[in-house]
Amino acid sequence: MLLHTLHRMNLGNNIRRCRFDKNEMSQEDLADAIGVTRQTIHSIEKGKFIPSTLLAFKIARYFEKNVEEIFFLVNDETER
Amino acid sequence: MKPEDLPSKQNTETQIISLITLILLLISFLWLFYKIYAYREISESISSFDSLYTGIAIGNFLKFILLIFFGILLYKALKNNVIINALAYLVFITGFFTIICMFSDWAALHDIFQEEPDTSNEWSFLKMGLIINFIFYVIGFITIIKIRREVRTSLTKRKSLIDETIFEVIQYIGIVCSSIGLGFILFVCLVLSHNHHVISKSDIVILNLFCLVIFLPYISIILYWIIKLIREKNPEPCDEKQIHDLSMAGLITWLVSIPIVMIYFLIDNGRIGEISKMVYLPLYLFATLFIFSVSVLRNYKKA
Repeated sequence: MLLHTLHRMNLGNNIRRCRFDKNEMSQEDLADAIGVTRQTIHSIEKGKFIPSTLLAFKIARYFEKNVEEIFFLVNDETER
Repeated sequence: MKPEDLPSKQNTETQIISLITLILLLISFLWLFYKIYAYREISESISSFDSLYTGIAIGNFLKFILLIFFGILLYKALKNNVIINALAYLVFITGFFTIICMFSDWAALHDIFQEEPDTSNEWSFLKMGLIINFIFYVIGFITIIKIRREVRTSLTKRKSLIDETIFEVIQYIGIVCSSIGLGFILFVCLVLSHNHHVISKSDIVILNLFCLVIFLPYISIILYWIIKLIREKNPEPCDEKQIHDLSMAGLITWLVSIPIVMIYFLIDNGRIGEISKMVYLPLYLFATLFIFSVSVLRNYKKA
């Protein structure tokens, strides 16, 4: 049962909220700061691309938060 | 380095070169109207060829100088990290086709002067050349204005480590080149299958050379990207999503290319015969490039 639930889980994130909390910074500014493209940030925010652990830590470090505060597991059937 | 950080000497040099290029571009643009007039006169009376051809030759010489100055300007702009968008790459491509048109125009005019019986193809080439020139001048004008404004107003945009624009432009160029290539091969197949022409080795070489010319913009932009990465000493040309998209596209291309080749052999099966020997390699290359570029772009833009 637990395994079945875990299989249905996906990665959600608070990047958009964190950006707005940090002087409403743009996706492009965040992308420049951590050395990726704007499209990558956009895909991560939308949940279409799951970042590597390294990139997740970089994003968390940039916002001065723990990784769990930025990324979290969500049930795939509910809102991402 | 941002434009405002440029040493004033380099800044002035870029401004001067951009001004010269702009003047040359405007003169060449005006010469386009002369060309239209000259072509009309020649089409009506071939006797006016000699007197009008001198003007066309001068126009071509000016265009050649313009292309050289454009090359220098783009080099200076890119060397000094002046931020120019996809327009610069478009100028590069249209400039390349403008050079080809200079030669094709010369060949077409030569045939018209020889009073070949049917010169309708030559006139089509000349008209196409005028359109390509016009596109080049318009894109070139916008690019020069943008470069001048960037240098003058010293915009303070940051230079991203990963070049997103060039990554996308490469895929677009891949799609355009492969589409042209596939269309060209289809055209060759149709013509040759109707003519029952015996294919020689030289035919195969010529076809492959034509395909190489079609492929050249893609090769050039890849080379440009590599040189840019080396100059910037950038060890990471792509970020992890781009690498993921490229890998996925590679897999899709590999999987799709196998049935494509199988279908091709089933359709061919001796019916087209000799032609298959001639078009097999370029067809495979253009088809895979098309699938690859479309897949990369689709994955990249999916979100």
